[in-house]
Amino acid sequence: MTQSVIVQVGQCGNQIGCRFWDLALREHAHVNKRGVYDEALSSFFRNVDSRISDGGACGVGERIQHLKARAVLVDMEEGVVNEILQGPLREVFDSTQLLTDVSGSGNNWAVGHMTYGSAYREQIVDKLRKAAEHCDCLQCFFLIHSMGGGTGSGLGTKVLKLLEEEFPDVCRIVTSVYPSAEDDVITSPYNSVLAMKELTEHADCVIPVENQSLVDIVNKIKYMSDGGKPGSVIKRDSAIISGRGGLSGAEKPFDAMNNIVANLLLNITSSARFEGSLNMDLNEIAMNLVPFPRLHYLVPSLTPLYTLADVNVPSRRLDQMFSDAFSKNHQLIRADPKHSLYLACALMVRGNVQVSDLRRNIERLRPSLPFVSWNQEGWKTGLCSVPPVGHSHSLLALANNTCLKSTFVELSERFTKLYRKKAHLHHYLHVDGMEQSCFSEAVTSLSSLIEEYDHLDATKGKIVLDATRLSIAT
Amino acid sequence: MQRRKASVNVEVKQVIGTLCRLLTATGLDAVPTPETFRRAKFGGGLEVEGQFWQLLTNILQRTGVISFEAGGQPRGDSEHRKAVAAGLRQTGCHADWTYGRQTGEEEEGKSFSGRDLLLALGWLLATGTLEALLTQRVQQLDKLLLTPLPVVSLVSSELQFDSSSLRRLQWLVGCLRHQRRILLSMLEERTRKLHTICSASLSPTASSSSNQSSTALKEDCDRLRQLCDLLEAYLNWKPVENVFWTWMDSVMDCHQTPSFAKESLHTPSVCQHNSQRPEKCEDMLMRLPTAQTCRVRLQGKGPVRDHSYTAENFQGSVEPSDILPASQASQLLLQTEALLLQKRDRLRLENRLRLQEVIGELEGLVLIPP
Amino acid sequence: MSVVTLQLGQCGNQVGQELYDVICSDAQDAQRRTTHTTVSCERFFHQNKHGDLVARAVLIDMEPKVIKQSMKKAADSGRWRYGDDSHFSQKQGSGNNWANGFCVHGPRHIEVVEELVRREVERCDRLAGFMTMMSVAGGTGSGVGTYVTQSLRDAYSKSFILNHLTWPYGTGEVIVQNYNSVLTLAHLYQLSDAILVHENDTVHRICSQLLNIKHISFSDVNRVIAHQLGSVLQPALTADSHGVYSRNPLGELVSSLACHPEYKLLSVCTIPQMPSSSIAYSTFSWPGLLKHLRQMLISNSKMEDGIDWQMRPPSASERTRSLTGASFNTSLANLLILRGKDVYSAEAGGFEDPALYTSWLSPETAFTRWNSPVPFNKYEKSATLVSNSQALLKPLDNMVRKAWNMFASRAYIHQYIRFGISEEDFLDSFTSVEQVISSYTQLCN
Repeated sequence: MTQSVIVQVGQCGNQIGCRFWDLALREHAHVNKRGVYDEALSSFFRNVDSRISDGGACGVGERIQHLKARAVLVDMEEGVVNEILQGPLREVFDSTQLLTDVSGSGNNWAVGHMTYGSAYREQIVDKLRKAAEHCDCLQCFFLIHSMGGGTGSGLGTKVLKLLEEEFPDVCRIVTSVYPSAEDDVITSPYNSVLAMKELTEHADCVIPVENQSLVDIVNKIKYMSDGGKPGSVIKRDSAIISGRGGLSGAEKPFDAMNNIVANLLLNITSSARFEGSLNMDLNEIAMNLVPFPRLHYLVPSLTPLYTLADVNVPSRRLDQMFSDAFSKNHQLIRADPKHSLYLACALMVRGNVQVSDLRRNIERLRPSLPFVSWNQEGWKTGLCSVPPVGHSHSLLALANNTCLKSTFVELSERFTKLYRKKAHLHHYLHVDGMEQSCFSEAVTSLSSLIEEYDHLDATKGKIVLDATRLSIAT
Repeated sequence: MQRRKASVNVEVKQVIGTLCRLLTATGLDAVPTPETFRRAKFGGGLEVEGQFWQLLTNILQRTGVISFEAGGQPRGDSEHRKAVAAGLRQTGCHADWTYGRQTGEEEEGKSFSGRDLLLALGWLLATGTLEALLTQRVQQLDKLLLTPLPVVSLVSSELQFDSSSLRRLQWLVGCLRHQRRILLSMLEERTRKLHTICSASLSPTASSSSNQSSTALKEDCDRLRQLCDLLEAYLNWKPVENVFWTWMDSVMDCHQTPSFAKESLHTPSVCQHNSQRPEKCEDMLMRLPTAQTCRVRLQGKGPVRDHSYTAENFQGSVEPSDILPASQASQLLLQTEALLLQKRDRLRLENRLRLQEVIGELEGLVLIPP
Repeated sequence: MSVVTLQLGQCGNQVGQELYDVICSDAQDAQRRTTHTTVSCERFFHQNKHGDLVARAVLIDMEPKVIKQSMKKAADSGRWRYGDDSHFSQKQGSGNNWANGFCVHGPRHIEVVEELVRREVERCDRLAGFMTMMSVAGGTGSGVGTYVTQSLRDAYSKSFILNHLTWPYGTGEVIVQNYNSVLTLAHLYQLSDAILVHENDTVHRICSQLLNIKHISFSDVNRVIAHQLGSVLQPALTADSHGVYSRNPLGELVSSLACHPEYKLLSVCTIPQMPSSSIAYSTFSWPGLLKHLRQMLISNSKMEDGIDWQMRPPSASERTRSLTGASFNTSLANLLILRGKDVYSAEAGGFEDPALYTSWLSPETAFTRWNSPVPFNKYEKSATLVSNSQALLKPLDNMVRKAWNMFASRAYIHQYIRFGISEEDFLDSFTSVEQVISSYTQLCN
């Protein structure tokens, strides 16, 4: 069994991370009733005997003593991390996993990336190595951060670079929270574009998530639970948005939104943690979904987002789940994949779903989904037999789709608007190591990425003939 | 000189002994001793003749040329010998004594002796009877040998060099390879079993329950030993064969009247072999080992005529020449083969060049060398 | 003689477990004759010191979950088990990457695997050969499987190697499955004696249409594959075995079907197949079964349902074939295995029609028949046809077409280059597989 380490950077990253650990504990508590430290648990948690001074680890198969998260928490302010340390999750972290400063990055990518990046470089590498040493087969780093601010965006991408340097063979999957257009941080377009260049160059996969989409989903669920549709009642213990049943009691703002992202991470890793009839390991994600190294941005959608209390016909509900995965309402980022081009698509199913259900739904959905000519059957499927808490089954779809181009174009335009006026530029340029060329390089990187998408989009709708085959002399 | 001759004689005796052992190993009963052979060369006598009649009968019976009814024994000696003579004619041995029955050769007496029978035996051995006996015996002894594939004969007659024949040939070769591997694994298995038995039989506590299986295994063992003996005898025979044939030459020389040969040429209408086209005949003969009869039958015809003895100088010569005509024939064949090989290589080269030209003109074509 | 199997990757380990289960329950059926049982058990199992039947299998995967599951299932059956120390797994899978399996995992672990195989071989009094079971879609089965086959070929040059491959669903299980398939086939074609193929799509249809399974799971699919494989591998009497069960099942299978180096792809169909609840209410006649089976062969349908009864062998003048559209399925060689009651009365003359076969092989050479009076797996009578024919031409061509289209855009190539497979290697593999397609296309000429 392999292990993964979560690296959460910045305020947003730590808030999502906090929800993730809460839900992960709940999920394992639900599946693992015997209190034995099993392989599934070992993928995200260490089992530490606290009686032994140095935190000696207990092996798989022993009783659970004291679970420690395989995580590194980085923030340049103390607020969020302190809150975690005072909250119910304090037990799963210890001080060696934390790295904080007091002054923050002031929404400045350059401060996070350059100033803190060089100041804390050694300490960050040290903590990452420690986390890696606790794993006997480290497969993946999950980086959680936001794009708009200073710490998550700047220091987060610095951490990504360090991961590549230190652990070139370990997969790097990044969950990036993209700012909405009406973001209150004025410099967010700068930060995002500068961070994008790093993500394009150093990540194996990036799963972009947008605040606005999360807000929409949460609102819709609230509306539904307030009796929007007669006869349908939402179960309160649904894992998706509710924090109930977990360790933390009262819900905080953003918790609902962060829960959704935390669930995304849980579902991605489910097949690597639990058994199933068609396993999907973490290293298979990039292998199947990334045809060209730079085009590694994947559109996530998650269903079901809530459990209705009334019981429908199971198979209809199952088919509905597959349809939902391809509706905009269930995407975690606003985009229009159905009117763009699919390069590849993964369906990660959990629960009591059989291969025939998968086949049936792929056949059913296929005609409505435009795939690139050379990958008409670009489906990757995984079947994990353990469903998420409170559901009989769930589906996570990850699509490599050219629709992200519009998100990037929009971002690029907002960047240009600021950059043309040279607004706030001096805040960046007086940071040590930051030069104007960084801006131009970042914007070039982004436009070349957009161009690559354009290039593929251009083939859409055209009848592409089969490539001329090799002929054999007979 | 004298010493050399003596040693040669000893050697001949040993070689004939080798042949006798081989014949015995192929399962023939009552094989004459080398001494009987020697006596036959000089006519022998009734006792010698009797032994050779028996041997010829056994051989012809075993190879299925003649057969006697269930009673086993022929009605009388003369009937018996008539059948053997007919059998010999069937194998292509047309010595005049084989026809002599009707004219009552026994009264003539002078033209028939043990030597004639010895020559007839020589003919049988030269025409592949020995190999036939050997194959038969091997099949008898080796229970694990697979039945020979019927397809083998299929190839030689139909093979032409078009692509489907080539494919068929590839299939057959593949099939043989697979069979070989199956055989090898069987052999391995058998070896291992034998080993187990050997080591088990060494241990004193052989249980009574294993008795039954051990008899079967003993039989197996026995058969295997016989098989080994047979193969060993054949291996011993092969390198010294030539000595025997040289000796047979001398038998031929002693045979003062060449009627053996003449008669065969005189009766083309009776003999089915002679009715065939002469080239075919020679072709067949040339494939035989250095055979005495071969020389005789080649007289007056074919490519080796110039090198062979005519009936006249054959009569006159006391010592056979050092060079056997058949060996010259084989030389000729070797020359022809070399010539043909040269021609083939030239054609191959031409073809390859032409192929390269053709390929040069076709773009985007990937050629996979065979 | 014994067969050692190697189960590789998730698919191989799942199919293998089902296969042993089918064979064991068939062999131990109380009404069966004892020699048959003995031969079958010697072929696939050895006995440990407690008298348990232990499968002659080596389990290999790059991650531990599936092997653990298969071993548990076997032990739970109570009838047979896997050897305690005949498995090898790592922690991290090959990630659907053939290159990762072939260039990294294969070489890294080959010594351990060879040692496990050697131990298993030494447990056999008489080794007939190896059967590897794997899928071509993923990374471990295909990549490590190919590497292991290569090392088997080196170490046991005389033994027979049959590769059993599971071909993925046409509409994607793994996105790079066509690349992995092409690389696997190209390499195995040089190493294997014969390649026996099951297509998931076909088996899936059998599950839904013949067995009436509503929610088809991988376990259902694997069980059908195991049933078909079992009906081929269980002891049977060959024409010249004189009442002794065939000595070398793999050798005899290979030498009756795959003697030509350009033709190694075998497909299987079995008749009848039905829900176990219906078997008791059905009767079969040999003429009926064989008539169906023959039509399944020539119209290339792997099921009784949906046979094209219009399909007739072509006359000599109309022997052409297009890759598209329904067309006559020309055979190179066929092996018919009949099991059950009155097996010797069955008349199989329909399979000796020269029109069924390529022009250059006579039906006497091309057609082989095995019999067993012992019924198989609850069917009173059953017939299995292993065929070296054009049946796999169309799926193979589709596979290569899709892979070639992807390769033309150079998509995913960087993932393979990372582990040491170059574009040149790809081209070589494409060329060999195109050669296979070309050879099979020419069968009907």
